[in-house]
This record gives sequence, structure tokens and C-alpha cells, in this order.
Amino acid sequence: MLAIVAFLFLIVSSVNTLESDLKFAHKTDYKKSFNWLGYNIEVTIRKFVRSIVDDESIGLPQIHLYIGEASQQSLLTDVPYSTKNWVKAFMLNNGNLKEIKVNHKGDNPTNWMLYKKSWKIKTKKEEMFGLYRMFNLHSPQYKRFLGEYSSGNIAKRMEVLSPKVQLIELFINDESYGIYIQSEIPNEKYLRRNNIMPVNLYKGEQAYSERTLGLFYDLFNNTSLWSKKAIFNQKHEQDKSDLQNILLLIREAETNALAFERLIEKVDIEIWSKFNAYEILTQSFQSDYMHNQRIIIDPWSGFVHPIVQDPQMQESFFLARHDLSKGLSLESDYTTRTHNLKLLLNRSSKYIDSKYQQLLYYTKEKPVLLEEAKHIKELRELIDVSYSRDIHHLTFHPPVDISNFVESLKFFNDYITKRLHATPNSLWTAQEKSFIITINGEIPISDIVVTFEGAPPEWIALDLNGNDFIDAEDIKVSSDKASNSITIPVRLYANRIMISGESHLRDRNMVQKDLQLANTGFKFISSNNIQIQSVSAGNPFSGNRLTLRKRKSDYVLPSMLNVPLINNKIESTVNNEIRFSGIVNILKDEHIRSPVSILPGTVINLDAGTSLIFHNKVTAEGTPQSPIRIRRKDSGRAWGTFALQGMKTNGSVFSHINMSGGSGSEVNGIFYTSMFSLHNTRDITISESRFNNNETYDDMLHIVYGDDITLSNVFFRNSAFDAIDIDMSKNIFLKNLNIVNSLNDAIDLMESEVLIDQVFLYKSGDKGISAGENSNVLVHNSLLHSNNIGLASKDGSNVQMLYSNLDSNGVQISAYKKNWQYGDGGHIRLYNSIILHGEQNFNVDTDSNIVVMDTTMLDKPNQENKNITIFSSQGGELLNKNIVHPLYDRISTGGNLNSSNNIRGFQGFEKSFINSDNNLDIPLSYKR
Amino acid sequence: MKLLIRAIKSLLFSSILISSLILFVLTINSDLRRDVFERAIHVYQLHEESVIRTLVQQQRYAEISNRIIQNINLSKKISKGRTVFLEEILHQAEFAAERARHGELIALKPVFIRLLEIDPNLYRVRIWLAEAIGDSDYQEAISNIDKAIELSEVDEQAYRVAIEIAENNRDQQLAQFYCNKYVKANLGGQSPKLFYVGYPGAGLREFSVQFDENERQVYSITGLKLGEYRNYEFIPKKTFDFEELKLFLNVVPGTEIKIDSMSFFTENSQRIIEAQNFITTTKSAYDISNNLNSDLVLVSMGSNTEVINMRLDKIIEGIKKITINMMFSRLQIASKSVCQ
Repeated sequence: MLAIVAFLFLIVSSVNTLESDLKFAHKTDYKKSFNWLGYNIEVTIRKFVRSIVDDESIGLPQIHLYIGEASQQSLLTDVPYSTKNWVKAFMLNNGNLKEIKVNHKGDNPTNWMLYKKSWKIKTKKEEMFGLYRMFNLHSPQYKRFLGEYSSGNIAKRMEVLSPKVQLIELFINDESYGIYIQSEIPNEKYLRRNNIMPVNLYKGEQAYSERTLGLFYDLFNNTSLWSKKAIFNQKHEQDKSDLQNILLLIREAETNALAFERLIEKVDIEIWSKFNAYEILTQSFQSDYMHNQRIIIDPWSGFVHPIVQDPQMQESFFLARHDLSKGLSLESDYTTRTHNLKLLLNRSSKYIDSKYQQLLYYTKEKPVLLEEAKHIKELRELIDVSYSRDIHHLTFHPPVDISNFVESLKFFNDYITKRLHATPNSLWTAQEKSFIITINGEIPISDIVVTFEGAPPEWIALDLNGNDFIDAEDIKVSSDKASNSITIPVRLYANRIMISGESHLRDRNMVQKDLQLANTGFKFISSNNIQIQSVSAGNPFSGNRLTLRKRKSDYVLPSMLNVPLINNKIESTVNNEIRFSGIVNILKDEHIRSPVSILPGTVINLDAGTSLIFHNKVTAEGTPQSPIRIRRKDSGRAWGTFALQGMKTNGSVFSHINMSGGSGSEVNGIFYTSMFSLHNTRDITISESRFNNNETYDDMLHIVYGDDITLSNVFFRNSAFDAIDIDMSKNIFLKNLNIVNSLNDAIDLMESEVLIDQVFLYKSGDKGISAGENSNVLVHNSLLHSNNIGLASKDGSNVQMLYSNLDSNGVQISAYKKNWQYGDGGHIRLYNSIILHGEQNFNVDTDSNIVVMDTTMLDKPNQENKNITIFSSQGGELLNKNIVHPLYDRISTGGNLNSSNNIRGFQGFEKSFINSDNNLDIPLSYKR
Repeated sequence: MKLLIRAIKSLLFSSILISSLILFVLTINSDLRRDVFERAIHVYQLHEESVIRTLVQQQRYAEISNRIIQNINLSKKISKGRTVFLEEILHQAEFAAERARHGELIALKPVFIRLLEIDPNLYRVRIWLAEAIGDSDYQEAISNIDKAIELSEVDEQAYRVAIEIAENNRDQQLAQFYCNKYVKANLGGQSPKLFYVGYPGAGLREFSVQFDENERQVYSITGLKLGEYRNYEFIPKKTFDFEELKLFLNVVPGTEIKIDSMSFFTENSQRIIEAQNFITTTKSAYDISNNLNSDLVLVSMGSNTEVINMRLDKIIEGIKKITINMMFSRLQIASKSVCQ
């Protein structure tokens, strides 16, 4: 009988094994054989041992999930597809069980076929964890799980866009499943959490079930291989023209230096070189040409951002400490699948220089690897506790040596610094009226000093194209005559040459590319015959100087992208400012990349649909008598946009500007939704100006990714939709504005921090102030009159209003939840103000609240609602109003609220257009 | 009788024992298990392929359709999505579709629909379906063509079918639209199952140069530009003496390659040699140069990597950089009366 039972048991086990293997290795194209029997036996034994020795001590932060057996099984009924079905589960949250949904993360069967599975968690829309609705619980797949965690953590330390990670211990149905990595999921909410507008976030995957059959798998060659994880809602969901433009520009830039310049306006060198520096510092090269690509294409900033995906430190990181012969490269990544964009950028001296600067910064100034080493040491005890319960790590992977990992982090930090401080490999050789400096290896030379025997030549020029003539683009340096040497303030790099054909696999032979260094010669021509005594140069990263040896060597010419980098000091002395004066007609879209000065009285006439985009600082200062006018060339047809784009426009100034008749445009892949657009810029002032009569597009003035922008004494009239739209911006100061007859909102805010002081918002078709999506707004001494809704706060926004009047608005104050992604309603606190003549004072939903203090409500007294709280100071006792706002100190009167409870309502303007504008139909009572 | 029963029992017992033994061996030996699984699948696939070949030979397309659908059903039993069977089923469909006359293709329509239900991103299935329904359901056919072009814009097949369908439906404007789209398209490309020396997939992506046949390494350009002359720059790792070069081009059939000249940069000079002065041979391209200008004009024909050998009758020494001035463009796939 016993024999029969044993026999049947063996039969059942065998059938189970075969079934597991079928699901694991034979349903899709994943074909790795796996010893299920040995694995299952070992897991069972280890579970048994753990049940005896586990003392249930607390280790890493715990996450407890409760998932029914049937639900777990249902996820595996038809792998890999069933793993993506959501099933009901519960999660312990602050002692309470919260209903959630779970499925399995990943396409690799090791994510869901083994004992320890990876999970994706999703809450109900109305029960989010703060701003999080979904997150991953990732079962580390690689033998050095700390390498997976730390590479994600180091990315955060470097402020590279990456999912936030945390080490946790997961319990399912109260059984420990050991150490997991909790991480964010890149989606629209992820963008918002990282202060990026909701734009297209692309996922590029050509592995496992996501591979497109029959098509060549290079993501950088085909937009159809990418899918969207977040959508720019002003374009069609299926539209991938932005991605297509980038892919084509990458191709174009390979053979065209101007196209390369256009490319790096989008593929910003600082962003991408930092990403690349991160990859080198962690030896984490997962984003290749066929998988793990996540990129954001932001049509507001114009930038393409890479996102770290599934990071893991490769063997090379750990081996470096013991065996440097493996030859780590600072150029290529050893994955054999480096994508074309990275190969292109790494041939540019500008990019390489930026990458090395980043490497130096993150090893010397902010040593992220050392910080991480310290962090791991601090976590060590907690990791040990959770690790002791982690059956899977003990069975599937070799033991983890935390000390070794910490030492590797420290070693690698020093190793990178040493590489950058290495002595450059450079020689020189002379001819009659010229000499050649060659450079080989990773490290550049800079600040070359040429010392002559006798008097120096009048000048020396770097012959960039090697044609023996001085062309316009060649760099020419004059001698100062006082010394016998000339300093050439350039930084020279060796060529990085793209080579293929060395793969061991026939079908990868041409696809697999590598960058190799080549000894590169730069030719210098002098004004007359020269006798050079010596040439010296420095390592720009260590500051050490060396005297170059004079020796002829075999060299090649610099490539198109390997341009000498000129010191900033030299560049800044060049005065290339453009002046606008008189009548300027703009007949087609113009991009101006030099600083611009617009003189008083200038009239800029823009042709229908055309736009003027400034990429550098603009100084446009008119006078009251001679304002600067920006207007239609063809009175019947609107022009496009007048825009400041990018950080080089910082510090621009506009005063006495009259702008009218514009609309918006899409130029060079950047979306401008307003007549006057400020994109990704800071330290801007606009004063004493008037904006009128825009059309078609959303806004009259749009500020996005702005910082420290001040508008004062500005009049907006007759906007087609919103007058001022401010998105993802901070330190915005709107002072003494009149906004009249906006068809939609007067001021519309999203994720912004704004002070609104002394504004008059009149007759807006929708809201006077609309604060949405996590905005933080302080309103002082303002008058919101005859708007459909006076003041609205939504979706986690906080508005504090003081000394203001809400007069004759349809709804005076409204607070509600509109966008579930913020998980919260609107919040308004109103102090020392007056509400009068409205149809309805308050409109508030259950997720929002309104607090009213020392405020007079005429006509419609207190409204009953548990989300509306009304306080009034009694006698001499003052209410604690505790106004907190980052821009509070910039309020014009300083208004110390606690000093009095009697002063209420709008106190009048310091300077007002109201009295001076005869066309303005406002209530007589406010004409002071 | 007893003997018979005993024999049956013994047989039964032996077969159970043998089956169990096989089962246990497969359970314990994971490598053997994988081999057995894979070989069983391969044997089945081989059999099915042979059946389909026979049916195609005998032009029994209704039966082919049923047979492939049976295989799809079998695949669906393993999993509702893509399985290990799918690629083989696609080969069966390809074998049948590529040999079908227009009327016969309609018989395969249910196969195409079922395949697209499993995976909507099957480029060639979209085209076969469009071709099959082009006369009966014009809009649906065009919609499939558009989806195919979205998947791989560079491949000519979708455009050829689209123009044919548009012409059949007397839609000249649409035919012209696809003509224009075709000549500008350069992203995407297919990945044939078989690969050859050179690039693994057809496209209009890149090309490489080899200066020395004895070395494996080649210098690559990944930014092939359509419709404009460009100076494609190649910098060697070290100075070399030029005698000949091999150009490996990842281009689709019907690509016109115009080579104007080559510039050779040495330490103190630049020498430009017109392309017609080279001795040129190709792997599969045709020379259509004329005497009106000095360009060497070649047309690629194969769907695999095109190879152009160019040699001079003398050696140029001390080369530090080479630029090739050339232009790529796509030849029209229909007559001027259709495309202009």
C-alpha cells in the first residue's frame, strides 16, 4: 500500500514538473532547461529548516500581501499572458487591510515561474498611497542583488531619472518571501512626481513576448517597436511623430555637423552625459538597442530624457577590484548592444568632455559610490535579518558578501578618479610653418603652451580641416609679444572611431559596434617660420601639467564631431549680440541663438503663422513714449508665438511691450500653446506691458518649467482662452496685473508655486484663479470680480487668500477633486477678506475643504457644510492664521495678519491701470 | 484464458513501468526533457510543413486554410497568445500565400484573420490580408496596408500592394500618396530568418567600409541619408595605403546609389578621385551610370547586404581620412502615369 502511495506521489510530482517546464521553457521562445526537481526539493528543505530556526526578528521594512491560492494559480493558468491579469489581493497598511490588485511583473519566466515571484501592485483610484497608485515588488534576479538595488539608488543620488527604489522584505499570506526591491513604475504619474508635464513616455522592448516577429529589432531604427506608457494629450494617442523626428535627426547628425547641433538641443548633452556617467559608475548598461529603453520626449522643454530601467551592476564592476585586465572602458559599454545614439554622442568631444566632468563631479565633489557604500553599511544588520529568511537567495544564488560589495563601491570610486587623473598621451612634431600635436587615449590635453626659441610668431591657428589654409572656422590665437610663448586655450580629445565586424556571431557581425580610440593629430599653422623650444599641456581634470615629448607618430585626422573645445573665457568675450530696431518683418519661423537686444520703438511685424523663438537672452526694454510693439503683419491673420526657449534665455527682461494678434505654434517639435511663451527658463521680468487679442491656441502667456519669473504692471485683455497659464513652475510673482475679459480662466495654474499680489481679475468666462494639480498659491490684496468662478482650488492644491475681495462672481470659491491621479481635492484658506454679491459663496466636495477666518460675507451668510469651517476672532483674541508660503516675504505690504482682525478686504492698488484705462467697465466703488 | 489474462496483466504492468520510468527520467534529467520536447515539436512541424507543401503543389487552398487553422487551434490550446508554434505557422502561411494566385489568396483570409488576432503586429500577414480583400473590402485592405507601413515604413511590399489596390479601385490620388510616401521612407525593415554575410536585416540604415580584407573590422556609418549628396567620413584607426575598399550597404532592393567621388586626406594634401575612375564590381547591384556626368550610379537588387568593391590601379599612400561623396535614393515602384 505504501509503495502504491509512493508511486502515485512520484507520478504526480513528475507530471507537475513536466507541466512547470512546459510553462517555463516551451510556451514562448524562452528555452532554458531548468532542474525543477532539484529546485523544488531544495526549496522544500530550506522552508522546513527556516520554520525551525526563524526567530521572527524584524529586518528590512516589511510589506504584507494577502493573495488567495486560487488567485495565485489563476495568474499562471495561461502564461505568459495570464500573468498580466489583475487579481484581487489585500495589503496591510497601517494595521488595516487595504484591497488592492496584483499581477506579475516582467516577461522573463524567472519573474513568475519560481518560488519567489515579482509582483506589480495597483490600488483603487480613490485609495492611493499618496501620489502612488502602482509600484513593483521586484524579485532580484541576479546573484548580487545589492548591485540591483544600489544601481537604482545611485541613479537617484545623481538625480538621473529613474524609478525610486527601496529594499523591503515581502510577506505573502504571512510567509516571508525574502528580500525584494520596491520600485516605481514609469508612467504619467511618475512624470508628474518628477516635475515633468504629462508628455509622451516611450517604452522600447524587443525581448521575450514583446518582440515584434519578422522585423529588425533595432529600436533606434523603427518607431513601431516602441509603445507609449504616458501620453501627450495634445496629440493623437497613436502619433509617434516626435519619436520619428528624433530617430531621423540621430541619423542626420552622423553626417551633418549642423544637424548634430540641432540634435543636442533636444538630446541635451548634460542630461545624456550624466546618464552615461551613471552607467559607467555603476557598470549598469541595460538600456541597449533592443530592450530596457524608456525615454521621455517633452515638447515643452524640447528635451529627450532617458530613464533608468532594470538597473544592475555588471560583473565588470565587481571584478575590477580583483582584475583590472578586464579593461573597463569609459567610452563603450561592453553589452555588445550599444545603441546608435550613444555611439554617436560618444564620438563628440563636447559630449565626452561633459561626461568626464560628470564622472569627476560624482567621484570627487559628490562621491555617490562612497555615499552608497555608507548607506549599505548602515543597512547591513537589517539586510542580514531579512536575508536569513530568504530561501530563494540561498538556493538560486550564491551567498551575498556585503563587505565585499561595500569595498567594491569604494574601490570603483577611486578607480574612476585615477582614470581621469591619468597622464595624457600626447606628442608633438614640427614642420616649417606648422606643427602637429597628437593625442591618444581617453584623457584630453588642455591649455597648450607653445614656447619658442626667440620671438614668437604673430599668431598661431588651429587648422581644423587640415587644408593648410586659415578658414573662418579655424581657431586663431595671437601672441602678446611680451613673452616667447603662446597659450592656446583649447582642449583636444582623441578620435573615438566606430568599428564593427568583430562579433563572434555571424548575424551580429555588422550590428554589434564598438568605439575605439585612435591617435589623432591636430595641425597648427603659424604666421611665419618658427623654432619651437617646447610644448606643454595639462590634464584638465587633475590640473597637472606635462611637457610633451617631441616625436613623430602615426596619426589620423580629427573626425567631424571631434572638435577642439575652446575655453569658456574665450567664447564669452565674443560679442555676437543681435539688435532689433525700427521695423522688423518676420516672414518665416526664426530661431535666434545669439543674445538679442530690442530697442525702444521697435515694431516687430510677424507674418501669418510665423513664430520667433529666442534661444538666448533677450533684452527688450521700451519706454512709455516708445514701447516695443509686436503685432500682425497681416491684420487679418494671426502670427504664431513669441517664445523664450531654454536656459540660455535666463535673465531676459521685457518692459513696455505691446503684444497682440498672436496664437501659438508647433516649431521644431516643441509645442507652444500661447502668443507669448516662456519655456524652461528663469530669472525673467516682464513689466509695464500690454497683451491683447490672441486667438486659436490656449493661452495668451504660457510659462512652463519656469523659475523666478516676475510680472508687474501688466495688462491682459481679451484672451481667446486662458490669459496666463503657469505649469510646473516655481517662484512666480504676479504683481499688479489687470486681466480682463478672458474667455476662459484669468490665471490657470498646474503644479506651480505662485504669489499673486494686487491683481484685478475681471469678467473671466470661467475662473478668476484656477489652482490645479498640486499648486501652492498665495493671493494678497486682490479683487476678483464678475468671473464665472472667483477662486478655485483642485487636486491637492493649496490656496491662501488674504485681504481680498470676491465680488459678484457666479461661484465665489470652489474646491474640488478633478484629476484622480493626485488623490486629493482642493484646499482654500481665506483670511481677512470680503465676499459679496455672488450667486453662491462656496462649492466644495468631500475631498476638499475651505477654511474662512475673519472674513465678511455679505448677502449670503455662512453656508452649512462639514468641509467649510468659518472662524472669527472674538474681541481682542486673535486667531492663529499661521500663513506659510515660500513667497510670503515678497508680499508688497508685508501684511502682518496677526496684528489685527478688523482690517478686511481689498486694500487698493499701489499703482493701477484701473483708473487710467477709460475702456474698462468696472464698478464705480473700486475706482479709487 | 488465465494465460491470456496473465499476459495482459504483465503487458499492462510493463507498459506502466516503462511509462513511469520514462516519466521519471524526464523529471530528473532537465536537459534530456528539453531535448525531447523540442524534438517532438520539430518532428510535428516538419510533418505539417510537408503536408502544406503537398497541398500547395496540388493547389488545394481551402484545405491548406483548414490545415493551418487546425495548427492555430493547437497553438491556442498551449496558450492564447504567441507560442513556440507561431513562427512555424507563419512559415506555413508564407509558403502558401507567396505561391497563391489572387483568387486562391482569398481562401487563406480566415488564416490571416486568426493570425492577426494572435498578434496584430505581423507585417507580412497584414499585406497578404490586404491583397486578399483588396477587391471586396477596399477600406479594410487599405487599413491593413497602413498598419503594415506603420510597422515597417521602409519595405516596398506594402506600397506595391497599396498602389495596386488603389489603381484597381481607380483611386489615383491614393496611389500617388503611396508613391510619395515610399520614396521618402527609410525607417524600419524586416529581419529575415536566414542571415548572410553582412547585415542581418534589410533596411535603409547604414553602411560600412572595409579597407583591408584581411582584417575583420569595418568602419561603420549609421546615418544613411536619402535624397541628398553627403560626404560620408571614414577615419581609419591608423594611417594606411589605399588600394581598394569594400562597401557593405544595408539597403533595400531598388535603392539607387550615386557615388560622385572619393577624397583622400594625407598629411599635407587632399586628393579627390571621381568614382568613375575606380574599377568597380558589385555583389548584386547593376551599374546604370551614363556619360552625362561622372557619377557612378548603381541600383541594388538583392534584399541582403549589397557589397561594392572599388579599387584603383595605383596605391595612394599615407591615408589619414577618406570621405565618400554619395547619394542614396529610392527608385519608383510604379510608372510615372501612376506616381506623378
